[in-house]
Amino acid sequence: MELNMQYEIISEREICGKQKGEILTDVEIAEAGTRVEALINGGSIKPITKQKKDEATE
Amino acid sequence: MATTTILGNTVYFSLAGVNLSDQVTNITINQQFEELETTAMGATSRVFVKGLETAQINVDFLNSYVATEVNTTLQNAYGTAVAFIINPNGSTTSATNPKYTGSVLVNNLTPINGAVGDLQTQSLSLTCVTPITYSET
Repeated sequence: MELNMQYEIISEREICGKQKGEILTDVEIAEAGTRVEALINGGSIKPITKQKKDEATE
Repeated sequence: MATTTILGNTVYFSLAGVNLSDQVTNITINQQFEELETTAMGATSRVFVKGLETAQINVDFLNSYVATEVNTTLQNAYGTAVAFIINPNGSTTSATNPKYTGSVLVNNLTPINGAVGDLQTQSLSLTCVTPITYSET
């Protein structure tokens, strides 16, 4: 199953209807009519990176 | 019948997903249809029908260059169509606080604009690239 990319809001501002520390998906960002790159470049969100399972168990 | 009034300082404005309300000093929605004349022989007055819609959002910003604020939001959206949301009284949409949404082309920026002793501001006229949608929910 393909999961949506997730991003954490790091801005003090409300972003796509959510507050700092909350999680946005790329789908929610697209539905809000903006672009992931624009929000990352603007310092509003950061990608949430997860360790792959095989790396985590090594 | 009671009259309801509302102060102009409670408008909610989100552009490209970013709530910029606290950096807006003035905002106006302009909506109009072209009026196409269909008056024909025998008519006793001019007759018009509705043509295509055009709309603009005129907004005055206080310029700020900090991440996530006005300048970075506009620069990252420059040349693209991005969504906007406007409510007259905060972001909670209701029958008495309707939501206006659509997309605008971010263009004609003036990122540096201020004389000695002035606040840096920019006044933008953003052209809508979609019809403006009105919603009470």
